[in-house]
Amino acid sequence: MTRYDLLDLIWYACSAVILVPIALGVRYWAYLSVQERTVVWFLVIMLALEIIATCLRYSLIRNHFIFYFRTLAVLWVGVAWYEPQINWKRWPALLAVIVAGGMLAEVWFWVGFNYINTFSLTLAWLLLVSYGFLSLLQLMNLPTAVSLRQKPDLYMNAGFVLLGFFSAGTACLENYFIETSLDLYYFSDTLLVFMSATAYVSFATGFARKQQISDSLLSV
Amino acid sequence: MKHWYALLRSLLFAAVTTNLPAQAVVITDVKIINRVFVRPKTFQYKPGDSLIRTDYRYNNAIVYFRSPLPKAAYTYRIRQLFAKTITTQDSFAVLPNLPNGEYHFEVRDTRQRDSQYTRLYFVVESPLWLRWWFLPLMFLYGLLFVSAGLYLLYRYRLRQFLRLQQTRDRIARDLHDDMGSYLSSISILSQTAHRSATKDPAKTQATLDRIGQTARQVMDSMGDIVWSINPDHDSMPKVIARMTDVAASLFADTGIDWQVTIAGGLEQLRLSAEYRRDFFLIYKEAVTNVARYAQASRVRVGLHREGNTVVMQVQDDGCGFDVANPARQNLSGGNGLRNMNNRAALLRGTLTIDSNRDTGTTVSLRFPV
Repeated sequence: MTRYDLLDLIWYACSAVILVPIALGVRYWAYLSVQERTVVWFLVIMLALEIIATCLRYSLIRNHFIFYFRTLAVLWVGVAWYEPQINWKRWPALLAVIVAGGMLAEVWFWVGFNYINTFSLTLAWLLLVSYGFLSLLQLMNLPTAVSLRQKPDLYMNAGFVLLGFFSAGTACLENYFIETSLDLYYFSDTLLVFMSATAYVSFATGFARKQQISDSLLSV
Repeated sequence: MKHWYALLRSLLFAAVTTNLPAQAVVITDVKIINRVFVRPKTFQYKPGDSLIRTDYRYNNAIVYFRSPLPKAAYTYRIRQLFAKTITTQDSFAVLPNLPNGEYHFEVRDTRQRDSQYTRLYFVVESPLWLRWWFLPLMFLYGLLFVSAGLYLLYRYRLRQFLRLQQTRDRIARDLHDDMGSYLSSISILSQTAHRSATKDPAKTQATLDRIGQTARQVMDSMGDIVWSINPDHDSMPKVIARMTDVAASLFADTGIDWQVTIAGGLEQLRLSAEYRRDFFLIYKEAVTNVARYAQASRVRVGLHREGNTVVMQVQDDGCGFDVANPARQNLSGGNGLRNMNNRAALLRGTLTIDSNRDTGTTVSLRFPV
């Protein structure tokens, strides 16, 4: 077994953690609000895209077009989850449309089809991180009578910040690392998959907490 | 014959070339080839260019050159890379996997010993991750994440500190307001009993009864305070159990027919210490008023949810009272209704009291979830 085989195993094991929040989300589906269900859908989409990308990889078919769908999924969850939470009116939707348009332009005029859309993907993740951080700050501003540990939003936002931050960093350099240094690519990819697993655990905690307190939570 | 011809031809060629002026080799073309996984890009060499600037991803080069003389043999070198010069009859040089840096590719015709080298200057730019600013930039990016995390942690801890402080303030207030007044009463009553112990035994007996009653109130209030701050009682079933216990102890020997009805859908709720305490004390005040003053024969306590609102009703068939101008039946108190309204406001809810002489009193508390 080579070092890269070991990294592959770690990658698969950490990627499989996404099944935990998905399973909990499906199990507690009735308790979840519409917004929380979008998170479950987001995770399902991410998993599906990963599976498709892996199948294509094993079939030796270039799979970089998967990144376009990933970008759209990130933009979509940013709008669906955060627009009702942060007081930016329709700005999240508008920004998502702008980045999606930018992605088309990037693919069409700059990188070409089936090449990684580094710029728009990084921007989409950074938007998600910004929304998550702002939402966490808003949570901190809630009255002290409210217990944050009882709020599923805390775990969701923490998960999005964690996932978004490392995904943005990786997305920014991934294409370049693929072209210039596979070792660095493996390093960043492994780091990302570790942090993603942590974020997925955070999502799972949010779903479990939601089930515990039902969908109606008294400010504790 | 064939050998003689070859020898003569070479001698003639040598004689001609040694008499010709030295002419430089001309670089005719340069091809730049990308690394694996790198998207190819077009590179056009303009004859005469002496500088080739490329980067780490396109670091394979083929240099084509041509001597003005026929049948040339070439010598080329890159001092930074090759220990020796390379001699070949091919009119191209393959330079694979050029490391980052600056190189002088030099080529000349071997047969023109006094000719100058033709030079081509290669600059292979290093990848971003080998530039000086890459690691500091990554460090700053990580620092940004750590700083944001620490800031959020700081805000969280500050918030937890405020929560703790508020809980301590509340407990101190409760101890001062409830325990303090009760214990003061006990102290005064005990002095009274002490003074009248020998002179007026009947008065002493009455005073001791009041001391005992006040001590029970102290225990009761203490029990409420301890119960409200115990996190084990955050769940609604625990609150309901406590409500039922209170009703049972209040109405046990009164002959009042009492019933507590809890609708479904409340079990999952968890109430904070503050919410739980305010909610419970409103309930307790309401049922205590029924037990003490209502002269009721039947009490119904109901608790249910209407969407995101919890509704509690305490309904009796007693004598009722004038809600606008309640008579002060307890000379030492009289704050009960006002306290209930204050606590309802703390719950962000509404308290309505509907009372008349014929149908009794209904206390309704609605507060949002």
